Amino acid sequence: MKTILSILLVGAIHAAAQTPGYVNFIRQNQQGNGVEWDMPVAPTGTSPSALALDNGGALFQLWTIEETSAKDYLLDQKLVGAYLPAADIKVTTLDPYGQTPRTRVDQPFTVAINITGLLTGTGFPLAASSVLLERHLGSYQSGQTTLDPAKAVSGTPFSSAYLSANGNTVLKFEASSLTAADPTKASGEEHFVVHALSDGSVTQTQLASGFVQVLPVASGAIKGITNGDQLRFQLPQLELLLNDLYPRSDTYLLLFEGTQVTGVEGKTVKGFPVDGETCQSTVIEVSELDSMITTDGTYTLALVSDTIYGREQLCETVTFSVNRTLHVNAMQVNFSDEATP
Amino acid sequence: MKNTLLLCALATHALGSQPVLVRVTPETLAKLQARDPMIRLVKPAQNEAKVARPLNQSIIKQSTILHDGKNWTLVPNGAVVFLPEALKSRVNVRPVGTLLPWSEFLTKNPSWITTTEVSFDQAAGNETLPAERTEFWAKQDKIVVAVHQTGPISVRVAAASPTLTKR
Repeated sequence: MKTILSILLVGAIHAAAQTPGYVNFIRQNQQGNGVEWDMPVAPTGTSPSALALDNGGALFQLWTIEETSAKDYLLDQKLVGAYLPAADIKVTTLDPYGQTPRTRVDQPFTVAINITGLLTGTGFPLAASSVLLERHLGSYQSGQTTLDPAKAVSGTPFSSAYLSANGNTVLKFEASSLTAADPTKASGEEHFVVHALSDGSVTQTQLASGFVQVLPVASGAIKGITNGDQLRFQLPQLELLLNDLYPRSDTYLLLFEGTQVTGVEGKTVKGFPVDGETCQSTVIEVSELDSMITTDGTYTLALVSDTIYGREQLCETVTFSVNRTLHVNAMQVNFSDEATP
Repeated sequence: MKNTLLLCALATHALGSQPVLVRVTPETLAKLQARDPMIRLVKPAQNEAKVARPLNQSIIKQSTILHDGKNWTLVPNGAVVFLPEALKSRVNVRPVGTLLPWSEFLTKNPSWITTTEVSFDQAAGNETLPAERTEFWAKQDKIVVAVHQTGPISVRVAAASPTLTKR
Protein backbone atom coordinates (compact mmCIF):
# COMPACT_ATOMS: atom_id res chain seq x y z
CA MET A 1 0.00 0.00 0.00
CA LYS A 2 1.41 3.29 -1.00
CA THR A 3 1.01 5.84 1.71
CA ILE A 4 1.45 9.52 1.54
CA LEU A 5 2.93 11.07 4.63
CA SER A 6 1.55 14.50 4.35
CA ILE A 7 0.51 17.06 6.79
CA LEU A 8 -3.12 17.65 6.27
CA LEU A 9 -4.55 20.89 7.36
CA VAL A 10 -8.11 20.47 8.36
CA GLY A 11 -8.85 24.15 8.29
CA ALA A 12 -11.95 23.47 6.29
CA ILE A 13 -13.40 21.71 9.29
CA HIS A 14 -13.28 24.43 11.86
CA ALA A 15 -13.97 23.09 15.28
CA ALA A 16 -16.80 25.24 16.48
CA ALA A 17 -16.05 27.18 19.62
CA GLN A 18 -16.77 24.96 22.61
CA THR A 19 -20.28 26.00 23.53
CA PRO A 20 -21.27 25.40 27.15
CA GLY A 21 -23.24 22.17 27.35
CA TYR A 22 -21.66 20.71 24.21
CA VAL A 23 -18.46 18.74 23.63
CA ASN A 24 -16.90 18.58 20.17
CA PHE A 25 -15.01 15.73 18.54
CA ILE A 26 -13.18 15.50 15.22
CA ARG A 27 -13.00 11.93 14.02
CA GLN A 28 -10.85 10.83 11.12
CA ASN A 29 -11.85 7.66 9.30
CA GLN A 30 -9.34 6.09 6.95
CA GLN A 31 -11.44 4.96 4.02
CA GLY A 32 -8.98 2.29 2.87
CA ASN A 33 -8.73 0.28 6.08
CA GLY A 34 -11.38 1.67 8.40
CA VAL A 35 -8.99 2.92 11.11
CA GLU A 36 -10.66 5.64 13.19
CA TRP A 37 -8.81 8.30 15.15
CA ASP A 38 -10.12 11.10 17.35
CA MET A 39 -7.99 14.14 16.71
CA PRO A 40 -6.94 16.06 19.80
CA VAL A 41 -7.89 19.63 18.90
CA ALA A 42 -8.31 22.96 20.58
CA PRO A 43 -11.85 24.36 20.66
CA THR A 44 -11.01 26.74 17.81
CA GLY A 45 -8.46 26.88 15.04
CA THR A 46 -6.80 24.31 12.85
CA SER A 47 -4.77 21.22 13.47
CA PRO A 48 -2.64 18.97 11.26
CA SER A 49 -3.69 15.37 10.91
CA ALA A 50 -1.04 12.99 12.24
CA LEU A 51 -2.22 10.05 10.19
CA ALA A 52 -0.93 9.05 6.82
CA LEU A 53 -3.44 9.18 4.01
CA ASP A 54 -3.84 6.02 2.04
CA ASN A 55 -5.21 5.74 -1.45
CA GLY A 56 -8.79 5.57 -0.30
CA GLY A 57 -8.64 8.95 1.36
CA ALA A 58 -9.79 10.01 4.80
CA LEU A 59 -13.13 11.25 6.03
CA PHE A 60 -13.02 14.00 8.65
CA GLN A 61 -16.18 14.49 10.67
CA LEU A 62 -16.88 17.29 13.13
CA TRP A 63 -19.32 16.13 15.79
CA THR A 64 -20.85 17.85 18.78
CA ILE A 65 -22.65 16.11 21.62
CA GLU A 66 -25.18 17.80 23.87
CA GLU A 67 -24.27 16.88 27.43
CA THR A 68 -27.72 16.85 28.98
CA SER A 69 -29.42 14.74 26.36
CA ALA A 70 -26.36 12.82 25.08
CA LYS A 71 -27.60 13.62 21.58
CA ASP A 72 -24.97 13.84 18.88
CA TYR A 73 -24.94 16.10 15.84
CA LEU A 74 -22.74 15.79 12.79
CA LEU A 75 -21.85 19.42 12.14
CA ASP A 76 -19.70 18.95 9.08
CA GLN A 77 -17.65 16.41 7.22
CA LYS A 78 -15.03 16.44 4.52
CA LEU A 79 -13.54 13.68 2.42
CA VAL A 80 -9.85 14.25 1.66
CA GLY A 81 -7.50 12.15 -0.41
CA ALA A 82 -4.43 12.34 -2.59
CA TYR A 83 -6.34 11.14 -5.63
CA LEU A 84 -9.58 12.88 -4.86
CA PRO A 85 -10.56 16.35 -6.02
CA ALA A 86 -10.70 18.94 -3.26
CA ALA A 87 -13.35 21.59 -2.83
CA ASP A 88 -14.12 24.60 -0.73
CA ILE A 89 -17.42 26.48 -0.45
CA LYS A 90 -17.90 30.03 0.74
CA VAL A 91 -21.32 31.65 1.10
CA THR A 92 -21.46 35.45 1.17
CA THR A 93 -24.46 37.61 2.05
CA LEU A 94 -25.20 41.31 2.46
CA ASP A 95 -25.60 40.83 6.21
CA PRO A 96 -22.19 41.21 7.88
CA TYR A 97 -23.47 40.02 11.27
CA GLY A 98 -24.38 36.62 12.67
CA GLN A 99 -22.15 33.66 13.54
CA THR A 100 -23.06 31.96 10.27
CA PRO A 101 -23.92 33.50 6.89
CA ARG A 102 -27.37 35.03 7.18
CA THR A 103 -29.72 36.54 4.64
CA ARG A 104 -33.38 37.36 4.09
CA VAL A 105 -35.59 35.38 1.75
CA ASP A 106 -35.83 38.24 -0.79
CA GLN A 107 -32.16 39.22 -0.67
CA PRO A 108 -29.26 38.06 -2.86
CA PHE A 109 -26.38 35.85 -1.78
CA THR A 110 -23.35 34.37 -3.45
CA VAL A 111 -21.94 30.84 -3.35
CA ALA A 112 -18.29 30.57 -4.38
CA ILE A 113 -16.96 27.06 -4.99
CA ASN A 114 -13.28 26.40 -5.46
CA ILE A 115 -12.33 23.05 -7.01
CA THR A 116 -8.88 21.56 -7.40
CA GLY A 117 -7.62 18.16 -8.46
CA LEU A 118 -10.06 17.41 -11.28
CA LEU A 119 -8.54 15.77 -14.34
CA THR A 120 -9.17 17.80 -17.43
CA GLY A 121 -9.24 16.54 -20.97
CA THR A 122 -11.15 13.89 -22.80
CA GLY A 123 -11.52 10.25 -22.03
CA PHE A 124 -11.43 10.49 -18.24
CA PRO A 125 -14.18 8.81 -16.23
CA LEU A 126 -16.83 11.11 -14.78
CA ALA A 127 -15.58 10.51 -11.22
CA ALA A 128 -12.15 11.89 -12.09
CA SER A 129 -13.28 14.85 -14.15
CA SER A 130 -16.37 16.12 -12.31
CA VAL A 131 -17.83 16.72 -8.90
CA LEU A 132 -21.48 17.09 -8.03
CA LEU A 133 -22.88 20.28 -6.50
CA GLU A 134 -26.10 19.83 -4.52
CA ARG A 135 -28.46 22.49 -3.23
CA HIS A 136 -30.59 21.40 -0.26
CA LEU A 137 -33.45 23.46 1.18
CA GLY A 138 -34.70 23.02 4.74
CA SER A 139 -37.53 25.05 6.26
CA TYR A 140 -37.75 25.96 9.94
CA GLN A 141 -40.74 24.81 11.90
CA SER A 142 -42.42 27.39 14.13
CA GLY A 143 -39.89 28.76 16.62
CA GLN A 144 -36.99 26.82 15.13
CA THR A 145 -33.73 28.69 14.47
CA THR A 146 -31.39 25.95 13.38
CA LEU A 147 -31.39 22.60 11.56
CA ASP A 148 -29.39 19.45 12.19
CA PRO A 149 -26.70 19.90 9.50
CA ALA A 150 -26.45 16.20 8.70
CA LYS A 151 -30.20 15.83 8.28
CA ALA A 152 -30.34 18.98 6.16
CA VAL A 153 -28.12 17.40 3.51
CA SER A 154 -29.21 13.79 3.78
CA GLY A 155 -32.35 13.97 1.66
CA THR A 156 -33.01 14.48 -2.03
CA PRO A 157 -31.53 17.82 -3.10
CA PHE A 158 -33.62 20.69 -4.46
CA SER A 159 -31.24 20.77 -7.42
CA SER A 160 -27.89 19.35 -8.43
CA ALA A 161 -25.37 19.92 -11.18
CA TYR A 162 -21.91 18.87 -12.30
CA LEU A 163 -18.88 21.09 -11.89
CA SER A 164 -16.19 19.99 -14.32
CA ALA A 165 -13.57 22.71 -14.11
CA ASN A 166 -10.90 23.45 -11.57
CA GLY A 167 -10.89 26.93 -10.07
CA ASN A 168 -13.60 29.22 -8.83
CA THR A 169 -17.25 28.92 -9.78
CA VAL A 170 -19.35 31.79 -8.45
CA LEU A 171 -23.13 31.41 -8.31
CA LYS A 172 -25.15 34.54 -7.61
CA PHE A 173 -28.60 33.81 -6.25
CA GLU A 174 -31.02 36.75 -6.33
CA ALA A 175 -33.20 35.27 -3.60
CA SER A 176 -33.65 32.12 -1.58
CA SER A 177 -35.77 29.36 -3.06
CA LEU A 178 -37.34 28.42 0.27
CA THR A 179 -41.11 28.39 0.11
CA ALA A 180 -44.01 28.92 2.50
CA ALA A 181 -47.73 29.63 2.30
CA ASP A 182 -46.76 33.31 2.21
CA PRO A 183 -43.47 33.15 0.28
CA THR A 184 -42.19 36.32 1.97
CA LYS A 185 -42.41 34.47 5.29
CA ALA A 186 -40.25 31.52 4.28
CA SER A 187 -37.39 30.78 6.68
CA GLY A 188 -34.86 28.03 7.05
CA GLU A 189 -31.51 27.12 5.60
CA GLU A 190 -29.98 26.50 2.20
CA HIS A 191 -27.13 23.99 2.23
CA PHE A 192 -24.65 23.55 -0.61
CA VAL A 193 -22.59 20.37 -0.81
CA VAL A 194 -19.87 19.29 -3.21
CA HIS A 195 -19.61 15.52 -3.56
CA ALA A 196 -16.96 13.39 -5.17
CA LEU A 197 -18.57 10.94 -7.53
CA SER A 198 -18.41 7.59 -5.83
CA ASP A 199 -16.74 4.53 -7.31
CA GLY A 200 -17.97 2.51 -4.35
CA SER A 201 -14.70 2.59 -2.39
CA VAL A 202 -15.65 5.34 0.06
CA THR A 203 -18.38 5.41 2.67
CA GLN A 204 -19.03 9.14 2.29
CA THR A 205 -18.44 11.43 -0.66
CA GLN A 206 -18.82 14.92 0.76
CA LEU A 207 -15.84 17.10 -0.15
CA ALA A 208 -17.13 20.41 1.13
CA SER A 209 -20.25 22.09 2.41
CA GLY A 210 -21.58 25.51 3.24
CA PHE A 211 -24.89 26.95 4.23
CA VAL A 212 -26.83 30.15 4.65
CA GLN A 213 -29.56 30.90 7.15
CA VAL A 214 -32.64 32.46 5.57
CA LEU A 215 -34.93 34.73 7.56
CA PRO A 216 -38.42 36.00 6.68
CA VAL A 217 -39.44 39.50 5.62
CA ALA A 218 -40.84 41.51 8.51
CA SER A 219 -44.47 42.62 8.42
CA GLY A 220 -46.73 44.67 10.62
CA ALA A 221 -50.08 46.38 11.11
CA ILE A 222 -51.34 49.63 12.64
CA LYS A 223 -54.47 48.96 14.66
CA GLY A 224 -56.83 51.54 16.15
CA ILE A 225 -57.00 53.85 13.17
CA THR A 226 -57.94 53.28 9.56
CA ASN A 227 -57.18 54.98 6.30
CA GLY A 228 -59.51 57.96 5.71
CA ASP A 229 -60.53 58.46 9.33
CA GLN A 230 -61.67 61.99 10.25
CA LEU A 231 -60.82 62.65 13.86
CA ARG A 232 -62.23 65.54 15.87
CA PHE A 233 -61.38 65.15 19.51
CA GLN A 234 -58.85 62.97 21.31
CA LEU A 235 -56.85 60.74 19.01
CA PRO A 236 -57.18 57.00 19.65
CA GLN A 237 -54.60 54.80 21.32
CA LEU A 238 -52.92 52.67 18.69
CA GLU A 239 -51.58 49.14 18.67
CA LEU A 240 -48.70 48.03 16.49
CA LEU A 241 -48.46 44.38 15.44
CA LEU A 242 -44.83 43.66 14.60
CA ASN A 243 -43.91 40.30 13.05
CA ASP A 244 -40.50 38.79 12.24
CA LEU A 245 -38.47 41.93 12.86
CA TYR A 246 -34.99 41.34 11.43
CA PRO A 247 -32.02 40.97 13.81
CA ARG A 248 -30.30 44.26 14.66
CA SER A 249 -33.14 46.29 13.14
CA ASP A 250 -34.92 49.42 14.33
CA THR A 251 -38.64 49.76 13.74
CA TYR A 252 -40.46 53.09 13.86
CA LEU A 253 -43.97 54.43 13.67
CA LEU A 254 -43.50 57.71 11.78
CA LEU A 255 -45.92 60.63 11.50
CA PHE A 256 -45.88 62.73 8.34
CA GLU A 257 -47.80 65.92 7.61
CA GLY A 258 -49.87 65.48 4.46
CA THR A 259 -50.11 62.29 2.44
CA GLN A 260 -46.49 61.84 1.31
CA VAL A 261 -43.96 59.68 3.14
CA THR A 262 -41.08 59.92 0.70
CA GLY A 263 -38.85 62.96 0.42
CA VAL A 264 -40.29 64.57 3.51
CA GLU A 265 -39.37 64.42 7.13
CA GLY A 266 -41.40 62.42 9.57
CA LYS A 267 -41.60 62.55 13.33
CA THR A 268 -40.92 59.41 15.33
CA VAL A 269 -44.01 58.45 17.30
CA LYS A 270 -42.59 55.18 18.62
CA GLY A 271 -39.42 53.20 18.17
CA PHE A 272 -38.65 49.51 18.74
CA PRO A 273 -35.06 48.27 18.49
CA VAL A 274 -34.12 44.60 18.02
CA ASP A 275 -30.67 43.96 19.46
CA GLY A 276 -30.68 40.14 19.26
CA GLU A 277 -29.58 37.78 16.53
CA THR A 278 -32.98 36.21 15.93
CA CYS A 279 -36.22 37.56 14.48
CA GLN A 280 -38.66 39.03 16.98
CA SER A 281 -42.43 39.48 16.98
CA THR A 282 -44.30 41.68 19.43
CA VAL A 283 -47.30 43.94 19.99
CA ILE A 284 -46.75 47.45 21.36
CA GLU A 285 -49.18 50.15 22.50
CA VAL A 286 -48.89 53.73 21.22
CA SER A 287 -50.47 56.56 23.22
CA GLU A 288 -48.15 59.37 22.15
CA LEU A 289 -49.97 60.33 18.95
CA ASP A 290 -52.51 62.65 20.57
CA SER A 291 -49.89 64.88 22.14
CA MET A 292 -47.90 65.12 18.89
CA ILE A 293 -50.72 66.57 16.78
CA THR A 294 -51.44 70.14 17.81
CA THR A 295 -52.82 71.59 14.59
CA ASP A 296 -55.61 70.56 12.30
CA GLY A 297 -54.69 68.96 9.01
CA THR A 298 -54.04 65.77 7.12
CA TYR A 299 -51.49 63.31 8.47
CA THR A 300 -50.02 59.97 7.45
CA LEU A 301 -48.67 57.22 9.65
CA ALA A 302 -46.01 54.85 8.32
CA LEU A 303 -44.68 51.74 10.06
CA VAL A 304 -41.12 51.22 8.82
CA SER A 305 -38.18 49.04 9.74
CA ASP A 306 -34.51 49.92 9.25
CA THR A 307 -32.39 46.89 8.47
CA ILE A 308 -29.09 46.38 6.72
CA TYR A 309 -31.20 46.20 3.54
CA GLY A 310 -32.57 49.75 3.97
CA ARG A 311 -35.76 51.29 5.29
CA GLU A 312 -38.90 49.37 4.36
CA GLN A 313 -42.60 49.72 5.05
CA LEU A 314 -44.07 46.90 7.07
CA CYS A 315 -47.64 47.65 5.96
CA GLU A 316 -49.73 50.16 4.00
CA THR A 317 -49.60 53.73 5.28
CA VAL A 318 -52.61 55.20 7.09
CA THR A 319 -53.77 58.72 6.14
CA PHE A 320 -56.26 60.55 8.36
CA SER A 321 -57.42 64.10 9.05
CA VAL A 322 -57.74 66.01 12.30
CA ASN A 323 -60.20 68.88 12.70
CA ARG A 324 -60.56 70.12 16.27
CA THR A 325 -61.65 73.74 15.53
CA LEU A 326 -65.09 74.48 17.00
CA HIS A 327 -67.38 76.33 14.60
CA VAL A 328 -70.45 78.03 16.18
CA ASN A 329 -73.21 78.77 13.76
CA ALA A 330 -75.49 81.59 15.22
CA MET A 331 -77.54 84.60 14.05
CA GLN A 332 -76.70 88.00 15.56
CA VAL A 333 -79.71 90.03 16.76
CA ASN A 334 -79.38 93.74 17.69
CA PHE A 335 -81.75 95.15 20.25
CA SER A 336 -81.84 98.98 19.76
CA ASP A 337 -83.35 101.63 22.06
CA GLU A 338 -85.73 102.77 19.27
CA ALA A 339 -87.54 99.55 19.37
CA THR A 340 -88.21 99.91 23.04
CA PRO A 341 -91.79 101.09 23.78
CA MET B 1 -33.83 70.02 28.06
CA LYS B 2 -32.36 72.00 25.22
CA ASN B 3 -29.92 69.22 24.40
CA THR B 4 -32.72 66.67 24.41
CA LEU B 5 -34.73 68.77 21.98
CA LEU B 6 -31.69 69.11 19.74
CA LEU B 7 -31.06 65.38 19.70
CA CYS B 8 -34.73 64.74 18.90
CA ALA B 9 -34.59 67.21 16.06
CA LEU B 10 -31.47 65.59 14.62
CA ALA B 11 -32.99 62.12 14.94
CA THR B 12 -36.14 63.26 13.17
CA HIS B 13 -34.11 64.74 10.34
CA ALA B 14 -31.99 61.65 9.95
CA LEU B 15 -35.00 59.35 9.85
CA GLY B 16 -36.90 61.52 7.42
CA SER B 17 -34.11 61.69 4.88
CA GLN B 18 -33.97 57.97 4.11
CA PRO B 19 -35.87 56.55 1.14
CA VAL B 20 -38.70 54.25 2.15
CA LEU B 21 -38.86 50.99 0.21
CA VAL B 22 -42.04 49.05 -0.38
CA ARG B 23 -42.24 45.58 1.19
CA VAL B 24 -41.49 42.80 -1.31
CA THR B 25 -44.52 41.03 -2.78
CA PRO B 26 -44.80 37.28 -3.44
CA GLU B 27 -44.91 38.04 -7.19
CA THR B 28 -41.65 39.98 -7.12
CA LEU B 29 -40.03 37.29 -4.99
CA ALA B 30 -41.11 34.60 -7.48
CA LYS B 31 -39.39 36.51 -10.30
CA LEU B 32 -36.17 36.72 -8.27
CA GLN B 33 -36.30 33.00 -7.48
CA ALA B 34 -36.77 32.15 -11.15
CA ARG B 35 -33.33 33.55 -11.97
CA ASP B 36 -31.57 30.49 -10.53
CA PRO B 37 -27.90 30.40 -11.57
CA MET B 38 -27.77 26.59 -11.23
CA ILE B 39 -30.07 26.31 -14.26
CA ARG B 40 -27.06 27.06 -16.48
CA LEU B 41 -25.07 24.10 -15.16
CA VAL B 42 -25.15 20.55 -16.53
CA LYS B 43 -27.57 18.38 -14.60
CA PRO B 44 -26.96 14.70 -13.95
CA ALA B 45 -29.19 12.18 -15.61
CA GLN B 46 -31.40 10.19 -13.27
CA ASN B 47 -29.32 7.79 -11.09
CA GLU B 48 -26.17 8.81 -12.95
CA ALA B 49 -24.36 10.61 -10.13
CA LYS B 50 -23.63 8.23 -7.26
CA VAL B 51 -22.96 10.00 -3.98
CA ALA B 52 -23.14 8.88 -0.36
CA ARG B 53 -24.88 11.31 1.98
CA PRO B 54 -24.68 11.19 5.78
CA LEU B 55 -27.75 9.34 6.94
CA ASN B 56 -28.54 8.08 10.43
CA GLN B 57 -24.94 8.41 11.58
CA SER B 58 -24.14 8.63 15.26
CA ILE B 59 -20.71 9.01 16.79
CA ILE B 60 -22.08 7.59 20.04
CA LYS B 61 -23.33 4.45 18.32
CA GLN B 62 -20.03 4.16 16.46
CA SER B 63 -17.94 4.47 19.64
CA THR B 64 -17.06 2.75 22.88
CA ILE B 65 -18.36 4.57 25.97
CA LEU B 66 -16.20 4.80 29.09
CA HIS B 67 -17.86 5.75 32.38
CA ASP B 68 -16.51 6.48 35.89
CA GLY B 69 -19.83 6.86 37.71
CA LYS B 70 -20.01 10.64 37.26
CA ASN B 71 -18.42 11.37 33.89
CA TRP B 72 -18.28 9.70 30.53
CA THR B 73 -16.37 9.95 27.29
CA LEU B 74 -16.12 8.06 24.06
CA VAL B 75 -13.35 6.51 21.99
CA PRO B 76 -13.49 4.86 18.55
CA ASN B 77 -14.64 1.25 18.53
CA GLY B 78 -11.51 -0.86 18.69
CA ALA B 79 -9.52 1.65 20.73
CA VAL B 80 -9.98 -0.31 23.96
CA VAL B 81 -7.29 -2.94 23.42
CA PHE B 82 -7.34 -4.51 26.87
CA LEU B 83 -10.31 -4.81 29.20
CA PRO B 84 -9.91 -6.53 32.60
CA GLU B 85 -12.91 -8.54 33.69
CA ALA B 86 -13.36 -6.39 36.81
CA LEU B 87 -13.75 -3.21 34.77
CA LYS B 88 -16.26 -4.42 32.21
CA SER B 89 -19.01 -2.53 33.99
CA ARG B 90 -17.32 0.77 33.08
CA VAL B 91 -17.44 0.14 29.35
CA ASN B 92 -20.35 0.59 26.97
CA VAL B 93 -22.86 1.66 29.58
CA ARG B 94 -25.64 4.12 28.91
CA PRO B 95 -24.07 7.61 28.76
CA VAL B 96 -25.21 9.58 31.83
CA GLY B 97 -23.51 12.32 33.84
CA THR B 98 -21.02 14.84 32.51
CA LEU B 99 -19.54 14.31 29.09
CA LEU B 100 -15.81 15.06 29.05
CA PRO B 101 -13.32 15.23 26.20
CA TRP B 102 -11.07 12.17 26.17
CA SER B 103 -8.02 13.96 27.58
CA GLU B 104 -9.95 15.34 30.58
CA PHE B 105 -11.56 11.99 31.28
CA LEU B 106 -8.15 10.28 31.22
CA THR B 107 -6.72 12.89 33.61
CA LYS B 108 -9.52 12.25 36.08
CA ASN B 109 -9.21 8.46 35.96
CA PRO B 110 -5.54 7.43 35.96
CA SER B 111 -6.21 4.73 38.55
CA TRP B 112 -8.11 2.50 36.10
CA ILE B 113 -7.28 3.74 32.59
CA THR B 114 -3.93 3.78 30.84
CA THR B 115 -2.90 4.31 27.25
CA THR B 116 -0.59 2.66 24.80
CA GLU B 117 0.90 4.60 21.90
CA VAL B 118 0.51 2.83 18.55
CA SER B 119 1.74 3.69 15.10
CA PHE B 120 -0.55 4.00 12.12
CA ASP B 121 0.66 0.69 10.72
CA GLN B 122 -0.05 -1.00 14.05
CA ALA B 123 -3.52 0.56 14.11
CA ALA B 124 -4.12 -0.64 10.56
CA GLY B 125 -3.10 -4.17 11.48
CA ASN B 126 -0.05 -4.13 9.23
CA GLU B 127 2.30 -4.54 12.18
CA THR B 128 1.78 -6.47 15.38
CA LEU B 129 2.20 -4.82 18.72
CA PRO B 130 5.24 -5.99 20.69
CA ALA B 131 4.39 -9.10 22.72
CA GLU B 132 6.04 -7.79 25.87
CA ARG B 133 3.75 -4.80 25.83
CA THR B 134 0.56 -6.81 25.46
CA GLU B 135 1.74 -9.21 28.17
CA PHE B 136 2.32 -6.31 30.53
CA TRP B 137 -1.29 -5.15 30.15
CA ALA B 138 -2.53 -8.28 31.88
CA LYS B 139 -0.40 -7.44 34.91
CA GLN B 140 -2.19 -4.13 35.44
CA ASP B 141 -5.76 -3.88 36.54
CA LYS B 142 -6.43 -1.13 34.05
CA ILE B 143 -8.29 -0.61 30.84
CA VAL B 144 -5.81 0.03 28.03
CA VAL B 145 -6.78 2.48 25.30
CA ALA B 146 -4.72 2.74 22.13
CA VAL B 147 -3.73 6.30 21.25
CA HIS B 148 -1.88 7.97 18.44
CA GLN B 149 -0.35 11.30 19.41
CA THR B 150 -2.68 11.39 22.45
CA GLY B 151 -5.82 10.83 20.38
CA PRO B 152 -7.63 7.48 20.83
CA ILE B 153 -7.39 5.29 17.76
CA SER B 154 -9.00 2.04 16.69
CA VAL B 155 -6.68 -0.92 16.31
CA ARG B 156 -7.30 -3.69 13.85
CA VAL B 157 -6.39 -7.15 14.91
CA ALA B 158 -3.01 -8.26 13.64
CA ALA B 159 -2.46 -12.00 13.25
CA ALA B 160 0.13 -12.40 16.00
CA SER B 161 -1.51 -10.46 18.77
CA PRO B 162 -4.37 -12.56 20.15
CA THR B 163 -4.94 -10.35 23.20
CA LEU B 164 -6.32 -7.47 21.13
CA THR B 165 -9.99 -6.76 21.15
CA LYS B 166 -11.63 -7.58 17.86
CA ARG B 167 -13.32 -4.71 16.06
